[in-house]
Amino acid sequence: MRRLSLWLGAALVALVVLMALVSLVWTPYDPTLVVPGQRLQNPSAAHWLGTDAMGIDVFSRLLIGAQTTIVVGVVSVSIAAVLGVPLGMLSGQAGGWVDEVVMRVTDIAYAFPALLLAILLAARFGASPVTAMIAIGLATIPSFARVTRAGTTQVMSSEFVLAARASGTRWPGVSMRHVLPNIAPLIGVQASVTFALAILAEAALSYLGLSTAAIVPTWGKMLRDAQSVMFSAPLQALWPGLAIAMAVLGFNLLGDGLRDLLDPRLREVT
Amino acid sequence: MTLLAVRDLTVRFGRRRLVAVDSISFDLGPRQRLGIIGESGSGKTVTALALMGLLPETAQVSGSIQLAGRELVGLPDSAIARLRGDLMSMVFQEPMTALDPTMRVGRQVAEVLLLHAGRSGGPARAQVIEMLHRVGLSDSERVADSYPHQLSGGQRQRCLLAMALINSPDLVICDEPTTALDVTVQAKVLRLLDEVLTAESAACVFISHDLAVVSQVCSDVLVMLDGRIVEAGPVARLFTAPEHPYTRGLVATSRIDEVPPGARLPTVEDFFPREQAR
Repeated sequence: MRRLSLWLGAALVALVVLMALVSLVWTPYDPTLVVPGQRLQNPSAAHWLGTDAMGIDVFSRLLIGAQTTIVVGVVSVSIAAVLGVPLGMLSGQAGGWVDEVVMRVTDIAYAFPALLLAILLAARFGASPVTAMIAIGLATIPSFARVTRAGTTQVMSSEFVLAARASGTRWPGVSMRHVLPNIAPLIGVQASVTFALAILAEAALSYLGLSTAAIVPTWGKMLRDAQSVMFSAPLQALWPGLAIAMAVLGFNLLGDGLRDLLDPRLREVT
Repeated sequence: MTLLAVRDLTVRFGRRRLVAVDSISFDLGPRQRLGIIGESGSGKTVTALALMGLLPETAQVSGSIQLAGRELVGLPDSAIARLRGDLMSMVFQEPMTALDPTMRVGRQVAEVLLLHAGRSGGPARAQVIEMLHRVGLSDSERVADSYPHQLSGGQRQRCLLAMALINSPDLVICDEPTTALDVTVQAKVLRLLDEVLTAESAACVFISHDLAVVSQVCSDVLVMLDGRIVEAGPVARLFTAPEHPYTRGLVATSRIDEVPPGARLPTVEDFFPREQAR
């Protein structure tokens, strides 16, 4: 069962990555080419998934949309990890009042609605994928910090850290050589789950018009465009919806699968 | 000349200042071996960690610990860290948890050399392989390239010995190094420890709850109870003429082979009754 979720997750993720890679070199049609004469066509041999309300080939847009999805996921997870992991390690290793301060700030940040942050950033710096990525990244720092702190305190209480310190290793060495390798699986799982969250968040922000400039095709933007023709052409909403669901499911399953796979090892650490 | 001089060492924990070690004093000369025995919670391990400066921050240490003329109590951690692994080192109790599961064993043993002796990877590795060989790991190349989970308990404990002794420390603190091993492996590791300590001319503080084990390695012994030293002296005298009733109990319980069949086995409480059971 656990292998199944791992492989299914990996396969779905691979499919999204493949779509993004293929779109770099090839799409059936220009994904920004408006053809007024071919509006809202049904799937056919010429247009596999039909065309949208502006006459743009849906399959081409879907492929290009995978690029944005991947970029948004990678960038926002990187922001969250680069800031959240050191914060959590600091908190877990220093302990005492440092730990207390970092964790209370994290609690406050956790309570702040992510959507509000995105709206604030979009209002101040303009709606673009960059502000969306920054908003998603900042909003997911607390969960990274918490997971990292939990893993770090566990590793710090282990005898091998004591043994390393007994050999004269100081805290930077303990962090880099002992804590980080031991919590890497935890961070990997968190990254995968956050990736799914970021895809969903970006789709929601695009749908609300808080992410994408009109010209960049994203799955969220496609959903938004589909809304106006929802009753005459329901398929328009189906394709991007399916794509988003597939990507989110893929990263979540991958995260779950990784967690299950690494669990016995984590138990061994304690 | 004494290598280690401990005076009125007291360790308290937490806000309620619970006393774990209560003003203990002892001396240790170069190459001398001192056993500390006592039951769980008697303050043996806390004493060891205090000597290494590895107690958690909630601990309050007072008194004096002088190692080779240097006062350790009150020294900042960064200063003690320079001495750890160089002047003094430690062998831990649990070979299963005292090695980092994500790091090859050879790299872990080499860490001391990289930190203190200023060796770089290549020469350090040669020295690690030689040291692993000396602690009785015949296929030391393979062991050095293994992860801890690929080794047996006895092999891992030998690696910990190698780790503690590779940088020729003056003082090795062994915290129940054989408790987690079965009896036959235990005997081998003890013999080995004895050999390597002699070869490196290192002094040793050997902590155990087992009188028999201590007597194999040490010449002198301290008996700890509830954070205090209740008796101290040469191992031989402790066995033949124990003074404190608690020590008498320990000696009696370690000689159950002399109890006639069918007779009730002795307990420490027969000699040293205590008010409340713990």
